[in-house]
Amino acid sequence: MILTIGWMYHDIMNLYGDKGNIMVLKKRCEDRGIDVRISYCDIGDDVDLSAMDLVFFGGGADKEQSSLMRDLLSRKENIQKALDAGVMFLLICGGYQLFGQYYIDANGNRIDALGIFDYYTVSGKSEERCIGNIAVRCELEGQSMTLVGFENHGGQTYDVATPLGDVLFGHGNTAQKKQEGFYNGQVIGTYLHGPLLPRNPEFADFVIMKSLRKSYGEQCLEPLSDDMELAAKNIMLKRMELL
Amino acid sequence: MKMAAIVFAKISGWILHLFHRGGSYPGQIALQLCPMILKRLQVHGEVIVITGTNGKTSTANMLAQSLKQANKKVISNAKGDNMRNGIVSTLISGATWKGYIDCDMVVLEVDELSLPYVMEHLPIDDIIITNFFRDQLDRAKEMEQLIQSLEASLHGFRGNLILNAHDPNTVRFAHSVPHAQCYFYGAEAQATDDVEEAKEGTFCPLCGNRLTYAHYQYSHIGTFACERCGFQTPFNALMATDVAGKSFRVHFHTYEAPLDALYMIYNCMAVLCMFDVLHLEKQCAKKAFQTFVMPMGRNEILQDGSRTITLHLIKNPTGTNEVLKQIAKDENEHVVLFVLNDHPQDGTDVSWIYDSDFERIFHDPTVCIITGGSRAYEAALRMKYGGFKKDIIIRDDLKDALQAAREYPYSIYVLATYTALAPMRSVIGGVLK
Repeated sequence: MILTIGWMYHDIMNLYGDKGNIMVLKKRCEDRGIDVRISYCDIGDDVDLSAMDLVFFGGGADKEQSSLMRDLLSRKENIQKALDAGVMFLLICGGYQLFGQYYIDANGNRIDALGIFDYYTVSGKSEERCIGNIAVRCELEGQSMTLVGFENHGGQTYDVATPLGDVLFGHGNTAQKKQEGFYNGQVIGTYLHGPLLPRNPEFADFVIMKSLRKSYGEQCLEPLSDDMELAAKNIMLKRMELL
Repeated sequence: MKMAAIVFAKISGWILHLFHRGGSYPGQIALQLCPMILKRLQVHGEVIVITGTNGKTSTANMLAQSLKQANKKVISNAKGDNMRNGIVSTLISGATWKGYIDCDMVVLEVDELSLPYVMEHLPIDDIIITNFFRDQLDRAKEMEQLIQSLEASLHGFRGNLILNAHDPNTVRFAHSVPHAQCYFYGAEAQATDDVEEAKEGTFCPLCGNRLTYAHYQYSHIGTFACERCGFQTPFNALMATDVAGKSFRVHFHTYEAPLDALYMIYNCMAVLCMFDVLHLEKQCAKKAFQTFVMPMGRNEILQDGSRTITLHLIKNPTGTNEVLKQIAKDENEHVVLFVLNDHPQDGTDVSWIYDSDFERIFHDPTVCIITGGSRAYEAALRMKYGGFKKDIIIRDDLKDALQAAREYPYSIYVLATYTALAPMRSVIGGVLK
């Protein structure tokens, strides 16, 4: 089996170690004999996202984010085609925000986003910036899991119809500490950096499984030894008094 | 209250000194008694500030020692107490009871986030800005926001700005601080293989266009130009030429940096550029470089029987990458011990370890990687997912971690984050007795 990943703006949207997620997806596939092919989709690159199994889009600083807007908007049709083709999406922070309606940055400028989903993001006041460790409880297709990560975002995301999970510790979509992220069965959007996947191996496998579905249908993944991963997660859960 | 603040701060400083402690506590007392204490001190002498992400401590210490070689009376925060309380402590310990600071030069390393405060309260003559890299984003938010806040606080500055010519984020200050006299320093192009490092200098800070690099030295330090607006590496920089290991030339003189590392040559060049601005004889700096002892944990080499233990402070991707490059040069078998803490001074977000290129040391001579500290498992996962195939050993306790490393008959490289450095240093000291 081959898993193809389209990695959007890998050299710009690469804040807070988000590339660690790609490292995890790659290794957890390869350990099971699944080859991984990565296609970089940077500014100006001619890449057909609908040919991918998974599209990954990480976070970046405001300034970097605004520099890629024109290129991103030019791909809107191709992104819609990928969604129709059943491609799985993993969007972190900036990537997550840009799939919504618009983003109002710290200086009050409105940046029109892809407008694929109804949610929108407004940069909070500087004292409202959500920074710190975060834990989120998710129910994902019958599988319940707790994700731990680190959030660092000024943007507050509103009108999320289908959140990824409930905030147990930290902030999430808004400083109100209720829900985190977005998930509609195909697109995952989240504020969790850390990076997200190394210490959330069950979630990494969930993403791999969902991504394989497009080309290979329902697949069962061999279990891997996750002692180190779960120890790393449990240390954080204990610190947040959730364990 | 000024007098009382000085008295209490001085006395507490002496008491701490008796117990071989230094630090920021006297400054904290003084600020509580007299919040405007810095403004009330009378400084006779040139005030030089060094700020930026990496190289502050080394540059400030080399500058202070070079000035002493030039027979100047210098007050400096040599131990790296670079935030508000530490700076106040330093200045009060050098002041008379009445608050006079009588010296030729005050050399202050200042934390980037404390610079606006220092600008407001001290009469600063010269500011050296070394570079800006990703560093503790949980504390500093985004780097762009940090730089913008520094630009705002420097806007009216009328003194001398000494800027790294090869960092677009330092060169931009020449545009955003209109009344300053600007001087630049750099080093001639070196062959490099850095393409995959986390870079901050991708876009033009003036117009937002993507920058074109003729050449990278390390990270985003290099020769850049914006093809849209013309923003570029200045031509009139004081340059190090003929760089070979530690040695480099400036005009007709040869110098030796304290360490065989390009970033150290940039630190030396900042000192030499400052010397030019002050019209001092650069040969004095040459002597200071030769006798310079690196601060604790900056490539500190300790002898453990027939092996060496090398201690490195690491705190952000760029500094870490430079350390990893040095380890990668060692062709003899060795063990790497990485202590990762996530206390506020280390940065509570440990994601930066994924922006650091640990894969560089996944070569044959690295026989084992041991991880320790409050986020030991996270450090171990970084190695695992980076593809390190040999043993990864996790030890919560620092003594156990060092012991695990010493079970191998090889030299040891210890990488420690800020709060892990002193405890690790004392654990190593314990076994060397």
